[in-house]
Formats: sequence, C-alpha cells, structure tokens
Amino acid sequence: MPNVLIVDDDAFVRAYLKDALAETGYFLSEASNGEEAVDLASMERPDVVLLDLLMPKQSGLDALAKLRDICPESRIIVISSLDSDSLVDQALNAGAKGFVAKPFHPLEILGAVRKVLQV
Amino acid sequence: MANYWICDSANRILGPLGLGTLRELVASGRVRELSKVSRDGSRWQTLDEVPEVSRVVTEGAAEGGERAQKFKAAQIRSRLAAMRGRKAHEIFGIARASTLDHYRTAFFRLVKPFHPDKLSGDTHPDLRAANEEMFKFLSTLMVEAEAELGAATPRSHGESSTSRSKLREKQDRIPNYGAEEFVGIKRGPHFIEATVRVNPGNVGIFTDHSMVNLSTMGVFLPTTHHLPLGTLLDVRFVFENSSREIKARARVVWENVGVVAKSVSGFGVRLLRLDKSDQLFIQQYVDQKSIAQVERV
Repeated sequence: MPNVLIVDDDAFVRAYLKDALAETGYFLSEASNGEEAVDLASMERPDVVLLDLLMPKQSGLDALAKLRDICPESRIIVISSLDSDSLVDQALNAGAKGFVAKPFHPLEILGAVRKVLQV
Repeated sequence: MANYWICDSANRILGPLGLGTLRELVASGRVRELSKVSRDGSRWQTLDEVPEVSRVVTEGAAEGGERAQKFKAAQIRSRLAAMRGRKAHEIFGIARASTLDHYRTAFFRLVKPFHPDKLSGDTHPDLRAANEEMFKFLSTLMVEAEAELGAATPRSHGESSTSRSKLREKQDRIPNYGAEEFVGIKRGPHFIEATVRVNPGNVGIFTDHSMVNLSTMGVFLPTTHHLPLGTLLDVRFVFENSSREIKARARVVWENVGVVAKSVSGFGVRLLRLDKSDQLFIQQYVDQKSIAQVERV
C-alpha cells in the first residue's frame, strides 16, 4: 500500500489532507516543517510527499531539493496558496510532479496523488 | 540570478526566490508581513539591510495598490455579467450529462480564485465585493446544479458501492446534534458575533467533526445561517453549569451548503486566538461530559 507523507505547518490542513485520503487505505504520516519532513522521509521513503512551501525552520523549496536528493523515487506534490506562475514553474523545475493551489477540494488531492502513483 | 529567502512575522520561510518572483508574490498579496530576509537561507537581516529586496517589496505593494485592484474588480464584474443567464455546465465547461463529481471538480476549479482566503486583509473593498459577488454566483449555480442532478446522477467510474456506503455511514455518524442547539448570530456595522450555548448535549461540536475539531483549533457550528468561507467573526461560548464564558476571534473554514446534503447544515470555524487556559477549560468540559456518559452506561 502506498505511503504518503503530509508536510504542512498548519494542523488544520494536515487533518484536511488526511481526511481527503482516508478512504484510500494509504499509509499516512505527517510532518509540520521541512526539517521534520526530510528526517522522516529518510527513514520512511514515502511514495508520495504532499509538501507546503511556506513553513517554519526550513522552506518547502529547500526541503524539496533535499527530498529529491535523499529519496529520488518519492513523487512530490506541492500544495500551496502561493500559486504564482513563476513559483509554480520553479517548483516543477525543481522536481515536483504536481502543484495544487490552496484552498483545494479533496477530490483534487485524491486525483493528484492517484495520478503520480500511476506514472 | 541572485536568490533570497524571506521570513514572515509567523517565522515561516520561503525561498530561494528571485526578485521577480518575490515582486509577483507581494503584488498579488500572496506574501505579506515580511520581517527578515537572507541571501543564503541561514544568516538573516532586516529588510532595510537588503535594499534591493526592500525596493522590490515596496514596488510590489504599490503595484497591487488601489488602481490595480479597482481594475481587477471591473474585470471580475465584466466576466460575471457574461456568465449570467447561462447554464451551469456551460460556465463550468463540461458536458451537460456529466456526473455530480465532475460538476463539483469543475466548480471548485472555477471558484478557487475568488475564495475570500485568497484576499489579503488590506484588499480594496471594491475588489473584495466583486470577489464575493462571483463566489456567491458560482456557489448558487453549483447548489442549483446539485438540486437538478440529485439522485439521478450516474455513479462516477471507480466509485465502489463499498466506498459509497462507508461515506454514508460517516455522514450518518456525524454530527449528532441539531441546528436548534445553536443560539444565533448578531451582526453589527463592523462585527459578526455568534453565540453558542454549550451543554452536555451539544458538546460534540468540539469533537465530532473529522476536520473541524478542538485538535485543529476548530469547532463546528450547526446553524441554518449562512456565512461565506473566510468570514471573520467573534464566537462567544456560554457553558451550561458554569459561569465561564469564552470569546474568541474565528474564521469560517468549512461550510455545508448542500455539498454533503445529508449532514447537518452549518459551518466550521477555526479559532484564531484562544488562550491556553480557555483551551484547557473546553477540553476539561468535553472530558467531563465523556466521563458522565461512561458512568451512565
């Protein structure tokens, strides 16, 4: 069963994402900042990472670069309200497989995760 | 190209960013209240100490100023005028016979840019009003489309009867209190206040909702009143058998407006500022109720 790591400093968003994926049976873990995410990913090797960009301790973009380095097989989907064209491009060029803008509908998250798992 | 890391007043970090991206983010109101900047992601300086960043932030803020916002408001209203009188499926850009899920997905994609959370606190009132008009128009359109489709909607591919029954089970399970438990909403020229009389029968408002609950600093308010997503309000909790009264600033983050037709109508709010002692009191009140239930069994 796929393993999905949810990374967001906002507990509400983490709960919302977990609920969106609850029916799938995927194994879900969570981190509240980039540093925690990198530590957890190095142990758990998640299939998918749902990654916020604006977080304490370590920027999501810095975490994205480290995650690409330590677990290149993980598919990373950025989930952020900072959906300016240039930032979306930057995240995708840095190796993210998708970008979902906040606020999002649970079906969008489900669709994005299923899509990257099929690739 | 030089890169920078920025830090906001909540100590959240974004970077590395080029100056062009930073300007775009500031002008659109997506980043605000910047407190520090770094050239390497580790050594931090004030904005004034990095003049090129300070200039970009000032210019970006001016770009997103009044004139630009009024122009944007006019654009939204013009788009809205072109939409009026047309069918939901035409506006959503899908086939008329699409499933309800397709309608919902198309609706959320379309309505997202007009969500109140997208606007910064200093957004011009005209732009805010135009966004609200569009948000309400699209939401009403979706509710009408749902009513039309109703039970006749074909099941979407991949949706099994098991997952459907699980969802129904979940909807039936929560919440178990009714709209009559909610006292009411008082509106003033510059405020909205919701008063909730908490008692052992409705204390589940703090715990029963899977997403809007005490662990996420949220509470679900069962009511037939409608407040748009993003609305700021004051919530006053009055507790039965206690002289304690708690008042907290909150924002609407969840609403049942026909999307989940069988659940109790109402909206979920996120408590923005809640003292530790108040949080502890609510938790104890909830726990006491749970203990009392166990003792009765």
